[in-house]
Amino acid sequence: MNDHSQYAEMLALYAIDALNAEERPELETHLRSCAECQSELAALRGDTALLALSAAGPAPPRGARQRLIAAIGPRQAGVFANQTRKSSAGQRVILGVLRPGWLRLAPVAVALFLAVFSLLLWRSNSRLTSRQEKMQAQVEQLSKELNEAQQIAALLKSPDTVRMTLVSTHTQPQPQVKTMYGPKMGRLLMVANNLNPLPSDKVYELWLLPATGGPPMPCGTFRPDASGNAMMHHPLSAAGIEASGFAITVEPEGGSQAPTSEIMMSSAG
Amino acid sequence: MRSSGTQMPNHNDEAALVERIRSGDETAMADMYDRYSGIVYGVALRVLGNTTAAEDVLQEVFLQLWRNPNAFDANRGKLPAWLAVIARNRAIDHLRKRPPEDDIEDLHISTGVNLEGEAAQRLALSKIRNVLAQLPQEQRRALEMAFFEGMTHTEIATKCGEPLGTIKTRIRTGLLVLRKAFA
Repeated sequence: MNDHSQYAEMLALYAIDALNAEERPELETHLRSCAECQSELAALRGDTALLALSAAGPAPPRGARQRLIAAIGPRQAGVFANQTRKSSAGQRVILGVLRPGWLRLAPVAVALFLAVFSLLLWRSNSRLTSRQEKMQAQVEQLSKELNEAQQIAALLKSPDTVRMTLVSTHTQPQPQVKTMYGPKMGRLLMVANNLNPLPSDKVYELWLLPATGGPPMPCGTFRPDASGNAMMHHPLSAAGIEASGFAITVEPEGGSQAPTSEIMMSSAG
Repeated sequence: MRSSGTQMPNHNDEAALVERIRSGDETAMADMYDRYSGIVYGVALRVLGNTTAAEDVLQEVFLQLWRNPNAFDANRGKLPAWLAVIARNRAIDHLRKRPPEDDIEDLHISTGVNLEGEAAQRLALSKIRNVLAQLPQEQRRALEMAFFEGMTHTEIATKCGEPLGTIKTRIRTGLLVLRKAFA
């Protein structure tokens, strides 16, 4: 090594794997053409092996032998098993290193599972599609009804709407009030035509006549426009009360809690 | 050297043992494991400090030898010494989270230490530990940091706060002391 003393420390570091990466190429180039340094490197590696052997001794986990058997393959399993003193009950899978025999069935099991899972998904999807179609039909029906109701409401509320009531040609136009009352909904729609104008301190007031025979219940006040038309549409506090009819009186501005004048119009019952 | 009181295999000759593995003799692998698993596992455990990771290395080394028994050339070194160095290298790979090698290295390892048989190995191991125990602590520490912790001499010098030349000398002379003890 006298001629190679410049590499002596580098060889030792190389053997023990402690040489910096940037220092390795120079030494490796030299090693390719120097049998003496190759021999010294082998000896230094032998020295590092002694260092390694100082750590020998701890017993591997009990299952390790059996896991190696399983990893080598079923052909070898019987041979190893016969020599195994006590095998571990549980096998730890080390992917990439160990592949126990049962793991070979894993792809089949996974494929089967995926097939069953796909079938369940397909059936579930079919049920959901059917329900979706039914709901879609309901939505379309409701949308159609809503659109029709909106058109009716718009027609009734529009100031441009021409309201005409056809009567006998031998009679004068008479005041006319139509009510639509939904007790369960608690809503009232009233449309009036040909009403006589009122003094500024008076209003018309609509009354609900309970079917139970109780006192009239106020349902709102209104004034006709210049043509004698009026409309009310609002919820009632009397929701749920059955009506035997409706009546209209003329009341002071602001309305009354009980009729203060003679009933001027009432439903037939 | 074995992990427990297994019977010594009948095939003490390493070359013959590897030849049996080459020919697909399953019992040779069993013999190999019983004879050398304590070395491979012990080295891996020393490097990694974790039994699970150490067993991974143990399995990896033996499986690679089973798949490619030609990686070991009996003319280029003794099997236990070769396995110990291979185990160390694999363990360092795990420590650094490097992808595992596809194959094991063909390392030329030369040592005059008699490692044939359980009794010889026990004797050698006792002597190795004794020699290491007599090294100056900083020298033993430099060897351990390089070999079992995978540090470069620059990293060791930085960690120890010592000149690079000092670390290089400690490592080389430490290895030579080991060699001399078995000369």
